[in-house]
Amino acid sequence: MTLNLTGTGAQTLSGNMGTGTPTISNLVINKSGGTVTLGSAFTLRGSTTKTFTLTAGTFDAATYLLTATTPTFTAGTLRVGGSTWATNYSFAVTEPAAGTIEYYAAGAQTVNNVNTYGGNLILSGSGAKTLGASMVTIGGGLTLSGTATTSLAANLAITGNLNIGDGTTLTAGAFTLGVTGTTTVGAGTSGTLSVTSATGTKTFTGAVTINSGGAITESAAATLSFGSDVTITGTLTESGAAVVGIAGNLTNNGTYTASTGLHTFSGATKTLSGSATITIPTATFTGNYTNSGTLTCATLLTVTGGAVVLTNNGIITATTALSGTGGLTQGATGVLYIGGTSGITTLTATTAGNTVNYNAAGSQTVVDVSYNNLTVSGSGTKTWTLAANRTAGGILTVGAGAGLTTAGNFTLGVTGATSVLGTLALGGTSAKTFTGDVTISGIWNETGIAAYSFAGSLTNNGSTFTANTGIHTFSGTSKSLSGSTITSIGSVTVSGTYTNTGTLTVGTALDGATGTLTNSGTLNIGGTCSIGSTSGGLSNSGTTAISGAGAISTLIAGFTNTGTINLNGSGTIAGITNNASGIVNLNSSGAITAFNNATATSVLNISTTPASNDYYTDCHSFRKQC
Amino acid sequence: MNLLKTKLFQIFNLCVLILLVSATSLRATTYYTNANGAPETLANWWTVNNGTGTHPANFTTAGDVFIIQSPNVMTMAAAWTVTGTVTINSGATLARGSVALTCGGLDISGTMTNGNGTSSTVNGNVTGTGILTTGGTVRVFNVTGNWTFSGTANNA
Repeated sequence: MTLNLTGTGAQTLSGNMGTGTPTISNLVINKSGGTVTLGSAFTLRGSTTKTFTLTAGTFDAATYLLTATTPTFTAGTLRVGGSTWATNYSFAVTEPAAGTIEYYAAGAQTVNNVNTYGGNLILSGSGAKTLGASMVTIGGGLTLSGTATTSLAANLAITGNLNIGDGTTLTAGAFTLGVTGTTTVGAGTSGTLSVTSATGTKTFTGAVTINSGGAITESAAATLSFGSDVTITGTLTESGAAVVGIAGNLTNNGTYTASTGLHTFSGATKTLSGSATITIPTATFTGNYTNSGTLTCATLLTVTGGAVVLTNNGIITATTALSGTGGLTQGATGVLYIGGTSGITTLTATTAGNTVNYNAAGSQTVVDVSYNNLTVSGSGTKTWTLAANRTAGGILTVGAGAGLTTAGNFTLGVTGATSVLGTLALGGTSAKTFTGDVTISGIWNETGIAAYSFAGSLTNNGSTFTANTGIHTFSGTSKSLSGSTITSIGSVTVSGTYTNTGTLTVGTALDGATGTLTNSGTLNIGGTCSIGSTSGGLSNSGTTAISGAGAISTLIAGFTNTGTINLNGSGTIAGITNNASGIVNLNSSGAITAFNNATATSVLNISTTPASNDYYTDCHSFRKQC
Repeated sequence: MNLLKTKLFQIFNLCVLILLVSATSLRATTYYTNANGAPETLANWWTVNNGTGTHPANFTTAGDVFIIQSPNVMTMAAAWTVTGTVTINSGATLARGSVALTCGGLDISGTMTNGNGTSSTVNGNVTGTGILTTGGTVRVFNVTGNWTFSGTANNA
């Protein structure tokens, strides 16, 4: 007789059917839902076959024995509540792909080898579930739930998914572990995949997700191969010099402790991301990756392959070395810290917004490319030898304690602001252009003779300012020259409009036919001055000292004074309009022409004998003091 | 006013009567056999176990219980479908033959014999400690409830 248990609800199968006469010879479980649970030992009896068939639903042997000789298992779940398979079933099964076998007892169980696991295996309940030594494949997935623990007893290949639930532990010792499907560790609180031996590669072909509280922990340096994405919200801890390969995305929102071994990123168009720093001592990229998180490589960051590009939209720190035949491209939000050598073949850092920071505690060589924001920091001198015209399209920052030394006879342009807190030594004979404001708190040293152009303000609070003899052109509009340190430049051409509130010393020539320079600080002119010869001019409300033999020639009324002008040199000075409260002191042997002492409070003090052809107009106050 | 009170009293009594009738009709009823016969015949079932009372109006009222009393032998000549449960008392026999039995529950404390062909479908539990005898080649029990029958089953 065949007993066919169907329906959707829970069912109990029990009864002492006697032992002498054949009774129920076939038991069929075909349920669209629910579980048939043995309530007692149940023996199928028949003269020929005693068939147990599970086609759908769940059959739970509980702690009893189902005795049959011919099992047919096409789908559904067989549960094992006894300590072994044989405790519950007198037969072995070939598990189908649609089948599940679950060992669920509250306590230790042995997962026997008697079955062929073509479907899923669930280890639940509690206690240690001991895998059979010849159990090498699971055709479906392996799931651990409850507080079950288990350890590999042989190399194991899981075709489906590996799920290590909260409270469970899978220990992978000296055996290979392969998971073709996805791997999920933890479900929010705990769950551990423990790798305890360096022997046996652990291969995860599908995506690996380590949820909050979950952990993959190596206590020995086994090779880890991740064929797809790795998402860390819990903890991934590698050991020693374990070699790690990742072919997918790496997202770290948890805790990632990488080994010192080589980490190879081989995916195509993949990403590094996450809110937590990805710290990998040695990483090699053989596929195109984009970083939007924080990647720190303390030992070596390599991009290998002529067509391989690591794009940085986050933060990358190459502490010791950045190398490889590939390229690193800075995205708009990328920040790249180069802490050591940088021998990478292609560095692309011109995208607006990005920053490259050479931050070693010691000397470094700056990769000779154009940049957007370029920062040197740490300490030591960073040497940049230009082999072509270069630009820093953003901000140039020389940090305190660090130095940037440029060489090479090619132009250098800085589009944004320039901030010098350390030492900036500019070599080469080609033009240097600073479009943004320049602020000096450290040392400015022009070591090559070249033309310099400034389109912004110049603030000099540095300890040293050394200009070369080339022409320094100030072309900005409504800009300033300021600072507590004397800015001494041989040749200055003002083609824009500038206000000097600091101390500007022009040793050779102050020019600019259409420029305007307003001095409310201290202006020292040691050579010629022709500023404002066409338009604009020079106005002084501070102190202007004119020395040397140079001739000062501006338009009449192009040099207005409401401050103090000290004429200390021997040249001819023409074109001063001395306005209210203005004082002009003629202290030496120079000559004054085209002088307009314009108001009643304008003062001309002469402490030497003027030349005979000097003339003064509207002299409201005139004192000859010698 | 007195007329209104009288009308309300009559309406109240009518409601009570309706409720009593409804409750009686919804109550599960137990029916008994009193002689050998075909179980699928309504007239072979009585509300009192001595062959008196009333017969069931049908076999499809949920909750009804049909008890085959000892020593009655009820032999099915045609398919018998019972929404409620069937109980075979000790000493009684249900001879299913080769026609289909469908019931909401089955207690085998007596003897149930099954011939060749068709199947028994129990949309509930199978219980009892009696004798289940099967014969022929097609002998299928479809059970959606618990199988806790712990008597003796024999293949004839």
